Amino acid sequence: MLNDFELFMPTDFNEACALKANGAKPVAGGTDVYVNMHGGKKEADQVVDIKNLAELKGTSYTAGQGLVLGALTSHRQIEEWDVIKKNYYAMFQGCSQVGSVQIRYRATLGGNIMNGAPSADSIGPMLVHDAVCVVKGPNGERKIPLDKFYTGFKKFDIQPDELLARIEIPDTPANAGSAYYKYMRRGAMDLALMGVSAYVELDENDVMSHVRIALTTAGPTPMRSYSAEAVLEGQKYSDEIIIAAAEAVASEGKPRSSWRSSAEFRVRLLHDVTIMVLHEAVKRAKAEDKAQPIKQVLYKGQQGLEERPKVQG
Amino acid sequence: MSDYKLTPCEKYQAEGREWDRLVVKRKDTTGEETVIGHTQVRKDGVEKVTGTAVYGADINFPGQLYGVCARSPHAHARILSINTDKAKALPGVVTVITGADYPEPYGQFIADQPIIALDKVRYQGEPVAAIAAETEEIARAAAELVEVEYELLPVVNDLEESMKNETLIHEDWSKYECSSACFPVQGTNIGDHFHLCKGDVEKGFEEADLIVESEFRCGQLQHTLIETHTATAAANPYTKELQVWTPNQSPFSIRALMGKIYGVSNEKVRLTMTHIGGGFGGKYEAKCEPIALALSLKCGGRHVKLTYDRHEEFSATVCRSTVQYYMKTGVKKDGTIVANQIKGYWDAGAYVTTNPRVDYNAGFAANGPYEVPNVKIDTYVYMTNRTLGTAYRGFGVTEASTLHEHQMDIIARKLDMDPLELRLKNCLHDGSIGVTGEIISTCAVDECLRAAAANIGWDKLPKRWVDEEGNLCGKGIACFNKLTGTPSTTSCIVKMNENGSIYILSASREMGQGVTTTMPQFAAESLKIDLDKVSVSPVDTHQTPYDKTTTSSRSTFHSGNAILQACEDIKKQLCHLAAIKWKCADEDVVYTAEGNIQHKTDADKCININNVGKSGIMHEQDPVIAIGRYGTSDIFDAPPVDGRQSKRPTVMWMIGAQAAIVKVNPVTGRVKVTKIGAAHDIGKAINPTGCLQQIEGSVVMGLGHAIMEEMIYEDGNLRNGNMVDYKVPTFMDSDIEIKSTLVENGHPEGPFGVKGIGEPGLVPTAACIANAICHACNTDFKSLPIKPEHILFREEAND
Repeated sequence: MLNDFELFMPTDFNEACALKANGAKPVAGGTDVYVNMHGGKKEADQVVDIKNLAELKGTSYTAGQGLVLGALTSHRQIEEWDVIKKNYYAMFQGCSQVGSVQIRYRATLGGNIMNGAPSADSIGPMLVHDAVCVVKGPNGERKIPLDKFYTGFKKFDIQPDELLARIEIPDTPANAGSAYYKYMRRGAMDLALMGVSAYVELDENDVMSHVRIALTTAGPTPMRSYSAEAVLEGQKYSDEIIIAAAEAVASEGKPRSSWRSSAEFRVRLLHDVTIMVLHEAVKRAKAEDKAQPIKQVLYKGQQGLEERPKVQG
Repeated sequence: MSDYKLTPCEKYQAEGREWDRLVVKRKDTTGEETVIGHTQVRKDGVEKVTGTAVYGADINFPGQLYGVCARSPHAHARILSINTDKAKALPGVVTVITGADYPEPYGQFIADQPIIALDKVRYQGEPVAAIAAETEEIARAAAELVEVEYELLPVVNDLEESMKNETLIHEDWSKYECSSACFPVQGTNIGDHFHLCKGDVEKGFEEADLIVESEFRCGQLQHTLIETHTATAAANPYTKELQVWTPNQSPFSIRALMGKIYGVSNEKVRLTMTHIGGGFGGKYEAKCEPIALALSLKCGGRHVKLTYDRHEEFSATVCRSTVQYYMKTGVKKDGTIVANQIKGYWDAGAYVTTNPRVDYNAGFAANGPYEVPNVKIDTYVYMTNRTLGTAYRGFGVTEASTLHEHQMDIIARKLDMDPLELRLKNCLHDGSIGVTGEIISTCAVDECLRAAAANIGWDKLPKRWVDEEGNLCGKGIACFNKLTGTPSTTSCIVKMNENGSIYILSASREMGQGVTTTMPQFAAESLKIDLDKVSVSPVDTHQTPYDKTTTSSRSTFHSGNAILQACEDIKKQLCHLAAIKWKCADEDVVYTAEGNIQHKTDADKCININNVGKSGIMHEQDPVIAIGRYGTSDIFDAPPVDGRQSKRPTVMWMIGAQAAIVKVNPVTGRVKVTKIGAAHDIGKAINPTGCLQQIEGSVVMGLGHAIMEEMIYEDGNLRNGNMVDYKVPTFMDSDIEIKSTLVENGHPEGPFGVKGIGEPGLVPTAACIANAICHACNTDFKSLPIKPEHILFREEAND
């Protein structure tokens, strides 16, 4: 049951900023805020619905420059956009696995960022694609790289009178590939128990550059794994170097033990899933048709593989 | 096997069905039925898919009040004081009641549960006060204002703590009114004990070549009904006439219970039933009904609507109990089982509720559908500070099946036998001596096992293998036998309307199982009247005749018999009316197999049942109305408590088997169930597609039980009491190739031979999936659900 609150639906951007500065809770798709309120969480006495703000709308792609995504861009738009599958596959994987189709029609990218959940599915992919947040207030715009935007658990580099207006994501070269793996306990309608995203550019000698790795549900915020990136940067693609990166990820991730799962289980998954995701990103970097899924196989270094029984038939 | 007549799936394809499913027909039915045995469109389908069906929470009355419960945040605490002054002072609040207002405890087996907590709370979420207010918002705000002073008591989190009997949930069983079907042990947390003894297990173990011991635990589950519990009540405080609108499974047992709680004679209690948005046993107990009535009584009889939200549904309604089983089996080298000893411990939660019946049903099933000369079963219901265990589709037998089928696979491995072969060697046949000493009849375990295995291609598959993608694959099989509650009784009224259509008044509740389609099928088949001329009335205890309950897969069997009896009377009455019109003797008119009211000698004098409304024979004549009755006290041989030996413990055993193929990703630990082969002895498929849907729905439900669902408690706190964290399978998990065989092994006392299929589809599902996972991973997983972390950190079997 929703408790009473005062709802504002401004069309003027500055009015919305003023309301937010005054303590109103911004709502876009409402798939977090209203769900939390139904669950008994008191979000605010005032809610400002930002769906009518022109400054937050619009999606575009310009070759050579990249994506400009209004904060109101829905997960479903990302999921169904061929450019995303072709150039930003990890984002397709992240956005297409959020909740259900119905939720993805409502839930926005801006909302996914501003909800600040460590398990947010779009964030890891946007981190590895080097997204930049554009926040806007009465005093103009500021651009903050997404990996600097989070300052703590559900904390952001944003002023009370500012709103996240859009996200800018650079274009990807032809030799780039990305991948995201979301670990769920069921096939849909689930939060990421953990997740790994990766982006890599590969030259003709299989040397990796611009490597970026991000972890989901591995700490208080979605986070980059800089140490693992450093292991791979400038190195030639091999099973061994991928394993070394996975070990770096496993030691950098800080998952907690809880009733949801043990830290031991999450660390093991981080290790093995990193191997899977890095191989997938590299394979996609090499692939001619980058919009196709890469068939999952088992890779060297994954712990489950070592324990595989030898018996056949 | 030679008397099988296979009806190929082309029959279904001809009806527009593209599934590859198969019905095995047996000789027992004539095959000449025109309605029975043919797939029918569900009678409740249109209103449900168009959203026009009226469910419990759709009931509203002008000027109604809204009820809300104030609940205990503590799992175990003494209530030192309750202050409701602030809550009462809130504008819009009409009444606030506490346990002191209605101190008499209630309970079907033992009256151990207060309507609202009285001296102490025994689970987190137990009501400590209830409020009726003009709006739900006000009622919820008032609930926050109820002040309770608690003295915290040690929390009994689980079975292990309960079994120490150091902290007692109920200090004194003897002060409760206890039925003859409940066996609490004074001074302990034991709320019930079941004991079965056949032969001499010690002697059996001595004769055995091999003794196998194992244990298995099934986790605590929520019914996760789409429709949460709800009731709207109007209780006249002056006349003491009580009425409740509710989606309950057992209108008459709830009526009796409400009458008892409020000291009102049964006929003054009226239960008006709405559609049920999910039952599965979860709406067998009284939950909202007594509280809504209590509030209405204090509000001058105004309607009070009480609807639980999802959080309340999880923490403070009912669940399927955890059970921990231990099994010891003595077996000969050739696989012949000579002795089974089973011990079981149910974590029933804070109040006994239906657990003695769960204990009882599971007790008779714990040995499995196997002929074993020496069996000893002792199972106990233990109380903890958890939410209340109750009936859950299968009534304990699902868990029992998981136990004995896990054990069968371990035995097979130790003897290096094929698991199917071991089962076939030991399974019951007609003439076998069952676990109660009963001579078994109409028992098709063998056929079901073979058919289930064939449906996944068992013979061609190794026990375990690795697929191209590196997944660990395995196959598993499980079977079961489940009784239906006996004795029980049912009645119906079949009345013909003025236009010649038929109305059935029966309290068998439609809760998705299709009984409002199968009941009209019986009438249509018997009378040869068009099916669309037959409908089932809404259920209201003031109008509908008695039926014990809609549980235990009993409705089609019991109500079907009653309807067939009533229809015979309808035929006689119609012949009588025709005789009046034709001015002949009653004996000159017969009711033919084609549904014609026919003069014996004058062929022109003939009225087809479908034209009877226009025929004029009913005009200003005695109305056509008949009653049908069916009870099973006469055939029931009550199993005595000293060992439960009985020549007829149940009117009907339900039999079935399922086999599964799974693949397990060795890196992620995730399990994919790729194929389920099911085979159920349904006696007679009244509505074949309905039977298949019961099985297929069950398989998805059982998938959740096998690998996902569990209620997780930490120190008395339910951690995952919501639909995100309690993992129910979604459609994305449900793409299992299911092939089902309906074995029609007619029951001599079942209408057209029918047996139950409401619960059976679920009973072997988790068991066969668990067995397949165990084979795939070469590991004896000892509990459900088997989660990825169990798989990744497993220890492989090494014998």
